[in-house]
Amino acid sequence: MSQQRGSAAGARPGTDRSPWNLLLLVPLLMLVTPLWNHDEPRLFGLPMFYWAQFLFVPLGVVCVGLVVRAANRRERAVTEPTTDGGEGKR
Amino acid sequence: MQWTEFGVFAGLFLFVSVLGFAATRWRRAESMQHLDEWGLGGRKFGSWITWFLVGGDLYTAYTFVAVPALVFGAGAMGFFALPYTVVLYPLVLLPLLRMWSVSRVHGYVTPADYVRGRYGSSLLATLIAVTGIVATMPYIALQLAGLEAVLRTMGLNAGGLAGHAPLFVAFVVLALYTYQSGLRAPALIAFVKDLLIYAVIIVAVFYLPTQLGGWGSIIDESAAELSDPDSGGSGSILLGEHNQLQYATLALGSALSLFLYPHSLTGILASSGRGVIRRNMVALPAYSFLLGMLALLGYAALAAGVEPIVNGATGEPDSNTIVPVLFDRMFSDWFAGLAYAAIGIGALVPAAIMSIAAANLWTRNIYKEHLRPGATPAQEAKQAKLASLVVKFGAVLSIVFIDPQFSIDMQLIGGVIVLQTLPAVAIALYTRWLHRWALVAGWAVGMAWGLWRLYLIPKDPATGEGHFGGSAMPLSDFGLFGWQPLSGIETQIYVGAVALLLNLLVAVVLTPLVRRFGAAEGTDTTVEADYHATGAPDRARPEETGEAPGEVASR
Repeated sequence: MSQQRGSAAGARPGTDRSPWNLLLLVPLLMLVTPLWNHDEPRLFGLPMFYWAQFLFVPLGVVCVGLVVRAANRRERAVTEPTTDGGEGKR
Repeated sequence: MQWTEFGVFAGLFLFVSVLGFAATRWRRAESMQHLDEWGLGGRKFGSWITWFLVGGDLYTAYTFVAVPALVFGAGAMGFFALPYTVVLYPLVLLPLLRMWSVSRVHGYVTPADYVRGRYGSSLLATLIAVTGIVATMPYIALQLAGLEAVLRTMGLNAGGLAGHAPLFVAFVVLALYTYQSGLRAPALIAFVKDLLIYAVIIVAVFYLPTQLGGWGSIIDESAAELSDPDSGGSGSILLGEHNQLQYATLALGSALSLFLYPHSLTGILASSGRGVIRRNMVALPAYSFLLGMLALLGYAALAAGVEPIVNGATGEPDSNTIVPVLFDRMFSDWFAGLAYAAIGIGALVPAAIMSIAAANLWTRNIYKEHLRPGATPAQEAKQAKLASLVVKFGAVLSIVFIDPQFSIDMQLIGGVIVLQTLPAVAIALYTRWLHRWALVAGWAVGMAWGLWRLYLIPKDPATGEGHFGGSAMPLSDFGLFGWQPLSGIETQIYVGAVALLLNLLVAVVLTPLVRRFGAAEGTDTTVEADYHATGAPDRARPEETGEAPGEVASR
């Protein structure tokens, strides 16, 4: 039964699917510890271990931000602006 | 007794209590006699409120005292909290959107509600609900531990039952306004909490280094302190040879488990739309930055030579007090009071949301499912309010009668067990291929193995005595029925990650087998279009009838 539903849904592609989503994998680089597990170079006295991990915060924001922007555009293209899930006025 | 600090603290505490009671009038609903109103704030929180609410929910008082305490004790390993909260948002963005949509279409309040609808399995839903409640209880107790660390630093450090009295008073007040206002109370108080926290941390991070000779010398002094063999030092300011995998898997495992906790999902389901969630996944990392800076305060405390306060009730030094003690020593009394209020209020917000989430689970997935199937919405709301009281007093009692150290162990266990609900909740959002009975089996195996492994980790690594001493196990210990493929490898890994892998393995292997024997699949009341819906269907709240809700949702 669930199989039939699956194929019916496949005919109407979901709005979440997009090549932009691949950007979400980039911040996972932070889990590769040898990349930044070093003392030198230091920045403001902080070893690389610390400042490099801090840098991943804006990197993550940019990646998620780009995905979100693309998704909001797609969603606005399918639904009328009035039914947009946001707060209405922006 | 620090009267100025206490005065500032008490004043702000009183202020947020008034806010909490007034919150019931905020964005007033026609009636609070519905679980959607009490337990999800009417499901209409916009971007800003959601940001404060979810931020207040994920970055708790316990994080604010425990993460620096971990860095203070172990060095670099304690910094795992930063990668954890960075990889979190890219991982959960897409699944959370699907969860929000399907929950909006079907009126789900808890993750177990969703599992019930997806698999038509009362047993699986009950397992998810019980796992959620059991994992949340020690989390609430930990918020209390954070609050108590502040109270004890201010001088309210008596022994015995009297020593817990201030905590008890704070929690009665919290319990009362949560009972009355539901999720609106923590949402409103979260504003105050965050303003305070941001002010305090930004000042601390820029002011403290100037007093302690700059970050360079703070780090160097900490490195010497951590590796000092006299103080039994085994810490380091960088990761060593054997704990890098542990660092990465702990960060990843924690990120995967965070939104499986019922209270995190509560904040998401309370938001008004998919756009709100998207914007928040971009904006919430602002807190991660804060958390990283807080972690560095652990080093500031090391360099300043802070000694943790001895807990008057247990007679043991309480490492959670190091940040409060650091503030007490480095700041003027009124500013320290402000900082304590920030941490204290930071405990109340998540404690309120957690008790609401646990109450929702109890009401929807145990009370309504098993005890009183015909409960009306008003009865549900009533039951949830009562359950929230029970949960909070349970947490207070556990702090009073059990060694606080034990609640930290419980929290450790909580992370591992809540991760075992990932296949049934998160993977189910994408595919229903896994069979419900295979999921039950996977859950049981992951849970049993994880708990057993955690039990085997000695509290005191030197003597090998005690249990539940951490969440890291060497790969060499991994074995199946005496077969040890990785013996001799000392690299450490997070127990929860291995337990989850076993869980998935069992679920994947058993699925075709169970299907071959013709076990019933259960009815799936969701359809693919539900997962993209931007709002609830126009008609009245659809109860679980399964009559093609996708058709309405895809308008």
